[in-house]
Amino acid sequence: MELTKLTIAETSKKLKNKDISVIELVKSYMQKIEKLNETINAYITICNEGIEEHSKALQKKLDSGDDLPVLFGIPMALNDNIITRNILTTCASKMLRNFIPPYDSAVNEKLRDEGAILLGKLNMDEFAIGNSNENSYFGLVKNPQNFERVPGGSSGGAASAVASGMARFALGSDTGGGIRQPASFCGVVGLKPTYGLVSRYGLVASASSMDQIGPITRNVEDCATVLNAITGYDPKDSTSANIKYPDYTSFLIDDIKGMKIGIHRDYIEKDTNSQVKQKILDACSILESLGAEIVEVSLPTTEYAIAAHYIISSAETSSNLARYDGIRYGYRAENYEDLESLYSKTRGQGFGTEAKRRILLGTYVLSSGHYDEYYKKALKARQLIINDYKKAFEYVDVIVSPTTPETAFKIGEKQDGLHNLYSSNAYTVSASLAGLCAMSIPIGKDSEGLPIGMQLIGKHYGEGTLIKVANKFEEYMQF
Amino acid sequence: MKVNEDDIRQVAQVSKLALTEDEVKYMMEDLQASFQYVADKLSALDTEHVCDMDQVTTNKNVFRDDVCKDSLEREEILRNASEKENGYFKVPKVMEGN
Repeated sequence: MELTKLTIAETSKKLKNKDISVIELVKSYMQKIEKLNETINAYITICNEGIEEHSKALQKKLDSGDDLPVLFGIPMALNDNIITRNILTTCASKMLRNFIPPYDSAVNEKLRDEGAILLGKLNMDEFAIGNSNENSYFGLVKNPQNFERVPGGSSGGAASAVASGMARFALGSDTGGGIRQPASFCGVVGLKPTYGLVSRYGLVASASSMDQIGPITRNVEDCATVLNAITGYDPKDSTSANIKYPDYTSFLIDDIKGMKIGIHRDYIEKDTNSQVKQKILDACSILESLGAEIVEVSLPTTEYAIAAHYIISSAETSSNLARYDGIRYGYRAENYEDLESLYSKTRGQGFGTEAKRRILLGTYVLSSGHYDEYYKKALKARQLIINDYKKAFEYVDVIVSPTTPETAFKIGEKQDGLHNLYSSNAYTVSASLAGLCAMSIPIGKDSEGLPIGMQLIGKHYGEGTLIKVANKFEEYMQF
Repeated sequence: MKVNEDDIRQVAQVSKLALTEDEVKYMMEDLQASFQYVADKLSALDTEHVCDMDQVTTNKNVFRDDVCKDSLEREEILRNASEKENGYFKVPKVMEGN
């Protein structure tokens, strides 16, 4: 029996029935990491130290027969922009290559309280800027489905670790597709929750008005289980939602009869590769056969989403990255003459190319002569996109589209900024701008064996509905 | 709208980012292309009667009581500083004179 292939619920059951021990379980994941990480490079830090004692302590608790949470003893990993107390947190940047945080993120605290075991910290695009995981100070990550392909990004390490069995689940971050696009490229489930659903306390900020932490898992049930553990109101994050949080696993048993599912023609017809398009149309027929009604929706301003997102996210990123000055933490340049040159040399040497590009663009659009023309204009476009979705959700429960217009591209294929701009986030950025929840689920493979993902977009706090549809679809595919 | 090398240098200076001459050139070409696309795209959108978007949540005026709480230990904070002295961060001299 390969332990790394068991779902969270199956693993938890085996642990509680004493069929397996926490020590055995952790060992099997660690062996997987030992075997695969050298090639895939999904982990920046592997938490070997003390993990055996920690596993033994958890096993002892299990042996005492207490009623323990479902994530108790489950091995997982976190994106390296999620702060972990006393554990290196680099954001895949030279700037933070030695940064040992003195505090913990809200999500890590929650997962530790549940008894989940942190295996390590995952590779990503530097400061979550990028969509191929090629912008990492710690080297690129390979797609476990095909080593010549990128895993997507920014949470490329998270998606590839989960897809290859190097962690049962992972938390990534999504600002414009950072969870959904790599999940699609690697053939796993990725959820970007509604803005405010998961506390951002201890998530190193990229573009604060869109950043969200979310789960990357092997199936929909695991996704619901992890979501239960990481959601909740947090006074330490002023954008945290003070709502009644449902049990997301309760949506795993519902059916989708009579549900209205919207499709946006532009997202299927325009730039989508023919194999991806076919699979999406097939998936819509399947949803229809399961009792859902497919309805066309109109989202005319979403074609401006890439442009608006590029401006808004660069503006916010440039402002967030201003804190890295070489004084209180992080890299400091070795030779400098005065304070001014300390700052500029530190930042010139500490940031990678993509981060610099965003700092320059962001500073430019926020500067006095250009603010109205670009930044303000982008905010207005964002409002129009929000309005479009509001209107559409008066008629439908969920909107589906391909997650990406194409499957995983080759390493080195899209290096320049222009390519990044046009390519694989075309369908994911609008949900980020509107703060909506959105999920990517695997729906098949292309002729080269590369995974294809379907994106489900839901209303604010509509995660339950997404899980319901995704679960039904997944059940159907398994028959 | 055309970004030139001086624009890049000026923006790099206010962002406190030391760039090499090669980087200035590269960034200029790169931003010219991507920025052109973005600017053209957005200028075609009619936004005359649209309000600026402020935030996506329905949260309003999130306040907390102004009470003292334990903070992190000084040593823990200083642990990540590249230079420190006598419990302080160390920076190059900022003020002129003695």
